[in-house]
Amino acid sequence: MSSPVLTRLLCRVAVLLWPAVPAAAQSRTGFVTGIVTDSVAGRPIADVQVVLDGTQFGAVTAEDGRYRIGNVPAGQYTASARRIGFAPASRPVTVVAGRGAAADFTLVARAAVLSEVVTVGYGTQRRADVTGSVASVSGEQFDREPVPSLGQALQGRAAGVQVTQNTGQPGGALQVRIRGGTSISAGNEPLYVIDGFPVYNNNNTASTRSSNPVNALAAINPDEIASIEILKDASSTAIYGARGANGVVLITTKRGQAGRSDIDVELFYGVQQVARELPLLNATEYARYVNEAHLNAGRPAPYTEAQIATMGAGTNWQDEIFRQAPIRNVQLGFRGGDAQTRYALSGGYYEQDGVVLGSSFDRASLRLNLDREVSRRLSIGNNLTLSRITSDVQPTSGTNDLQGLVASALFFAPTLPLRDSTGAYTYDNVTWGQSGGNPVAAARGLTDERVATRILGTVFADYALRRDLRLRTSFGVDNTQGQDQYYVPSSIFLGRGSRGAAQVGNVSSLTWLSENTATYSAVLGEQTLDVLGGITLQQDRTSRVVTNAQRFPNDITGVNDLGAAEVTLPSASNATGWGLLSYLARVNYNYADRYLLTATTRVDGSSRFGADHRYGFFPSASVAWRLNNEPFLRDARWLSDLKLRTSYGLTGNQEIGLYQSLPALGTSPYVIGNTAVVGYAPVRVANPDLRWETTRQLDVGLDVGLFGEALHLTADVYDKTTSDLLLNVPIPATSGYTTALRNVGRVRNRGFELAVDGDRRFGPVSWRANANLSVNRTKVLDLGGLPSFTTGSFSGAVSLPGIVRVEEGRPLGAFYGLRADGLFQTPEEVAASAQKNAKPGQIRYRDLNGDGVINNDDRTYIGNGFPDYIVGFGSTLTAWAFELSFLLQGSFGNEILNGTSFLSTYTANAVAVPSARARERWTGPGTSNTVPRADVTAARPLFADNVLEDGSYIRAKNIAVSYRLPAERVRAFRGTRNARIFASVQNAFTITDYTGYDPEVATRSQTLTPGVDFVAYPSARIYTLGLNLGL
Amino acid sequence: MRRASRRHRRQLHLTRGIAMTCSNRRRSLVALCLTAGVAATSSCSDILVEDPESIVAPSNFYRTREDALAAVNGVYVELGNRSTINRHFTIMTDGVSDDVTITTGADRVSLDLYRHSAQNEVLDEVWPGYYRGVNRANAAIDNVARIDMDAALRARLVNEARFLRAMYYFNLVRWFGDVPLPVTETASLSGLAVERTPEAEVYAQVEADLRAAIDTLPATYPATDAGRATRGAAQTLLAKVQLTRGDYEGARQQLEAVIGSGQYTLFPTYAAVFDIATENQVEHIFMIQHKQGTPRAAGYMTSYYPVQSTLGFATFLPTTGPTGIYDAYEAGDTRKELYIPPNVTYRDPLGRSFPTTQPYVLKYFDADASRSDQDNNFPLLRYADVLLMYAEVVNEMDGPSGAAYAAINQVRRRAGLGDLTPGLGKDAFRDAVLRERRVELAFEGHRWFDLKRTGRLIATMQAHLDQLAAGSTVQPFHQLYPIPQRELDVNPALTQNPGY
Repeated sequence: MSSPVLTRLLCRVAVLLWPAVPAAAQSRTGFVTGIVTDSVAGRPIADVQVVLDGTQFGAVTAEDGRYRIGNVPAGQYTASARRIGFAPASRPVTVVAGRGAAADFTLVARAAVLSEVVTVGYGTQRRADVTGSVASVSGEQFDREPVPSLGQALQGRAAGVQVTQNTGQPGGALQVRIRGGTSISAGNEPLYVIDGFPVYNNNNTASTRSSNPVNALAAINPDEIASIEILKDASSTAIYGARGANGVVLITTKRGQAGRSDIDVELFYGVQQVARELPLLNATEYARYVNEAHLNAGRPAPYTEAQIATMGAGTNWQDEIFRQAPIRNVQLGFRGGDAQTRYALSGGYYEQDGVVLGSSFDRASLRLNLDREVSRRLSIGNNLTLSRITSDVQPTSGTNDLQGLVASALFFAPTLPLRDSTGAYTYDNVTWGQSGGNPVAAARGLTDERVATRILGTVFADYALRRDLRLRTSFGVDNTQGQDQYYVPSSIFLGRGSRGAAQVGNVSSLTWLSENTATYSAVLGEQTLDVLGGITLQQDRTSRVVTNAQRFPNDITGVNDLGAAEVTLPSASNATGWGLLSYLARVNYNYADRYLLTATTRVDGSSRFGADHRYGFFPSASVAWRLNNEPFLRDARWLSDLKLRTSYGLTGNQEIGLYQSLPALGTSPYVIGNTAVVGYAPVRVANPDLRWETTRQLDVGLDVGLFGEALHLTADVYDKTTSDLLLNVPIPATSGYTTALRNVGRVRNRGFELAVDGDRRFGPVSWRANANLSVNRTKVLDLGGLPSFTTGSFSGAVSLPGIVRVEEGRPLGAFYGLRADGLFQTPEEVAASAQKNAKPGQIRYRDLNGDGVINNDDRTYIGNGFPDYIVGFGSTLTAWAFELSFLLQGSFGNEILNGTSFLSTYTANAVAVPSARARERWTGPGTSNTVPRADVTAARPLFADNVLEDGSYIRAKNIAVSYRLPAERVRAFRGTRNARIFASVQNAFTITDYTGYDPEVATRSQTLTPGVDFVAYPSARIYTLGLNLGL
Repeated sequence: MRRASRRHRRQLHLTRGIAMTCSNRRRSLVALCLTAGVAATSSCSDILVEDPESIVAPSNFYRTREDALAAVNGVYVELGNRSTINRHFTIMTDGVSDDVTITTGADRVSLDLYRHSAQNEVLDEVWPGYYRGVNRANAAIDNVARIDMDAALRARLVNEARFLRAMYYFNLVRWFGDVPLPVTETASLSGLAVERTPEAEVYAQVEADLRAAIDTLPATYPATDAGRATRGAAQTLLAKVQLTRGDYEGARQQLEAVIGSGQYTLFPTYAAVFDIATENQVEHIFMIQHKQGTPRAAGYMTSYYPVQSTLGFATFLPTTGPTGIYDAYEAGDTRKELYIPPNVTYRDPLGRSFPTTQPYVLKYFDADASRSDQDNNFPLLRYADVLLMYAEVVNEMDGPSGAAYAAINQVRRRAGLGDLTPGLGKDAFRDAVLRERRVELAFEGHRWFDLKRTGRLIATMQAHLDQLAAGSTVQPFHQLYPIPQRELDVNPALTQNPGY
């Protein structure tokens, strides 16, 4: 930070705080003042940029529409006023030394949405000219929300975008799907393009630890984002060729504006709490339940009545591991510039403790974006961000069995105290039920810290060879360094076997990008033509090292002295790399603003593809017809936009893994000379045919703008068919291999999207709202000869076969299991059933194939984890200085495998989870038809539809109120542009029938096994209070 | 004012500069082009070629002596896999014989009871496992031969791989009959649907591999190479192949070479054959190697061990009764000491006691380790087998001569038994040898093969299953296993064995 700027900042803060500071002395210059109003109501307009053309002098209007440009040398000027949503205006003004000149403006509103510039691949376009399907989310929409990463910012805000959190762990991984998943075994995440730098979000580049992953994109500070564009159809994504099939998210960070010298301070502070706790049995109820489970099995009751009488409520282990956790964000930005140089320098610190003991996330980030017009022809600039994220992770989710922290808090007996009589933590769950460690001791003892440092920067130069021909070259680097430290002390249950286990991992990933493009623009009467061509190169190298050691004499040095360990386990390391060489071209043709055509192509050469298919060709074309500019509609004043558009094209998915086309040898040990020796043997056959997955997408869309853009509607239908799906298909085993990765399958996604934006003003009151609806249906068309396969099995204490079946002609995400048919009420019912060994009070399953046995052959389709439709509704109501905004977001028609419900029926080891559901258990004929009887000898429950629940929900994602300090008062503190205080509640409430922690959950991969909730880290409700200050 | 005019001057200057001095413009243009050009050309050519830094591929392997050793070790690896000469081998040789009852696993039990179909998880693993071994051998044979290294070592390594390929094919042909016979490494995904090769051609390939191995492999190795295939192993295996095919003359030649080498002799006690302390010694000709504390510890052998506990699984039980192995021993046979007898109180190494209700096999048991971390090698070929094969071959060629008696009696005396009744006829002697093979080589993977090659499989197994009241019928087609259905589904060139 340069010292004059700092001085100015400190001065302004001081002025704001002590308004008695006298005004600065007059000089031999003049000033310009005025008010800007709108042409219809004559209302003042804030945030209008007023500049004296050809100078660096300028100012921005305050809430009352007034502005003041000081220290202007005397002379003749042209003053111009500009604001998005209004036609620019200018007028001459004469400045006399020592005096003020007045220059008032009246601006005419114009269709804001249409004149708005949107970022598209390798360029920008006017919204009106876009022929593809592009949704935009502006940074302002999530500015004041406590979102740790941009993925959360997208949720509910754009049609066709589904965001699912794997975990409530702050900064934890999430999954983003644009118009559904296209692939079964390759990646399904969209391509992120951050200020022109394409990034596939691979969390493995930030950490060597795969369990409870941290989102690598959390390194990008959402506060620095000016806008996000989501490219959905083939026309807009084909320019990203072999990476476009899953959609593209373009992120544009904030840059400086000429004529401004803004200083923005944003602060918020909040507290979080678990949005919902699960009702559990208290100690007394639990002891009685355990007794009953033993007596029902003919075993003696473990607790005596005298013991039970002293138990009371006992320990609620959820209360012990959940906490109220603080969240803080500080953001300081300097943005501005003159006609030739623009700057945006910002720094931020975001800190969020998790609601689960011992978990936290923080990010320190710095950004510098510069633009400089070196000459009329040459401009240069850069984007640079440095950030460091630190996560303290708790093993809460993704675990197959009951080892997770939240799971252990659920099954830990409420009869046990937090600490034993010696004051030490109760060691483990020794009474009844699942064995496991004290979750509080685990949360406090375990270290799982992951630090990722990311540098993402690009420098670019733009040169105008002729007025109509521009060349642009850029070079960028994305470097992530991840450091992981994991230590399980010998003092906790988890460390009892290893007697102290440490793991240290380092990962370093470096990607460079060189892009060289040329753009040509021509105007021929009513026709305009824009042509883009380019060559890009991108290369990555990632290396990893992981070391492990066990048996530490003590826990003092932990992970920081692996040498102290008695057992050093084998280290592992690897290095991988990939390269991409691409040629791209695009033609945009516009005839009379009525007929628009876009043709795009990209040729991608990728190192991942087999030698025989190294280059992929991805063409697309789209046309649009702006009917509102036709003569027959020109008089329809109420219609500001009516555009019919359609596109078709091919895009690819290159996330097929590395080196898959090459033959490989693997190692395995044998014993020779009474010692283990390493043998190398072929493990993969060369497959030079291996190539990308290809998605063909047809999109038909309609844009309608009504009443001067007071209402804007966008609707799209699409049909995406992905072919050449990579599948591991069976091959003759006489080859030495049983399967090979081949491009054989096909999957289809069809859907409908609707987005409506409205904007109304009633005097001092204005209302903005947007709603979106997305419907997507998947269907497996071809599995390359495999009739079907099941996936998503659980091992460990919860042992389940594949819970999801993928079958030709069926949708993805289909749960496959037994049908439960209530409980057996009487011995007669048991005798008449296919479960002769069952007892009354146990779950009855339907013998669907009628063979008199209940087994895997009785499974059928029992639900689907993908929603029928998802919705989002955002509203901002502004009245005088107050603003009330909220965002509702919901998902409908999806089923969730409720793991806690499953575990609460799991009474084999007495009680796996002492859920309060047990209060409604079966105790005799007619007492219950849902909750089985307590029985320690009961068989392990099977996967059936009784553990699926309707996962539909509607959630108030955010509710915020803010108050803008009165302009007069703010203006009194010299130069302060605005000041706003706000309060918000994130996850304010959720309407759902789902009984688990959170219906917005995916503890497993969203591609094939959506809607699985096996005791994930619960989400938090966040109350924040904040301040925005613009100087 | 001053500021504005300075700025104005500079703008004028720049405008003039761009308009008038082309060199300026060219310079920035050239700089731009150079940057773009250098970036585009410097690495274009090789950016798309994958450099597999952390994978081993044929392109960077098969270059040195060490690579040759590792490649051949990779062929041995398959030996110890569950699908190959490990648990499934035991199931498909002893489990399906009259020696062992299998208690768990629906598909395993169906094999034991001769009710198996072409959809069986054991067969589904065995077939790919053996062909994986074959492909590994083919890869080593093809590629090691091309490595520039010490020629003698290279020849030895290639022939170790040929020995192993012969062993894999020998089991395949005995179990499945005609089988596909790839003898080169699979290098591409095309042309994988291969037909079955007639049995005789498979045997010819097996014999050719073994003859090459006999010509090249050393008689012994230093202790650091213990476990590798020797000439004696190749000779013993070839003899077994020839005996299976009725080529007594050929088998006799190989067996006499093994006996005459003076390299092998029986351990003084039967227990020493299975003692961890005396592995890879005088009587052992070829063992599957296992080592505690390595990923190659043995686990499946504790399937024989009594109770299901940290020490064992108790899922392979010795048969009893008139057709059972436990009651097939003559009185005083010390070989019966390697059982835990029924109706005793057994005290396990952890000090726990429990009563036994039936006998358990104690041949393979490492008392020092958990059930999946056992040290025991598996004795696939040993000298007692050679002596008994020799007695059989001599009897077939010359009748029960002195040489035949001498061979079988060596084995009987070591077991603490008297000599075989002298003066037996040829058929009676044949029966005696087979009975001796059963008790001497019990649970070592010989029984089903012996019954099959002597034409006794159907009658013997029918009698045994009748004794168990299993209700199964053993039919001639049971002398071959079905080709796994999974394989037929993906390879239209294959045909199923009759009866399945």
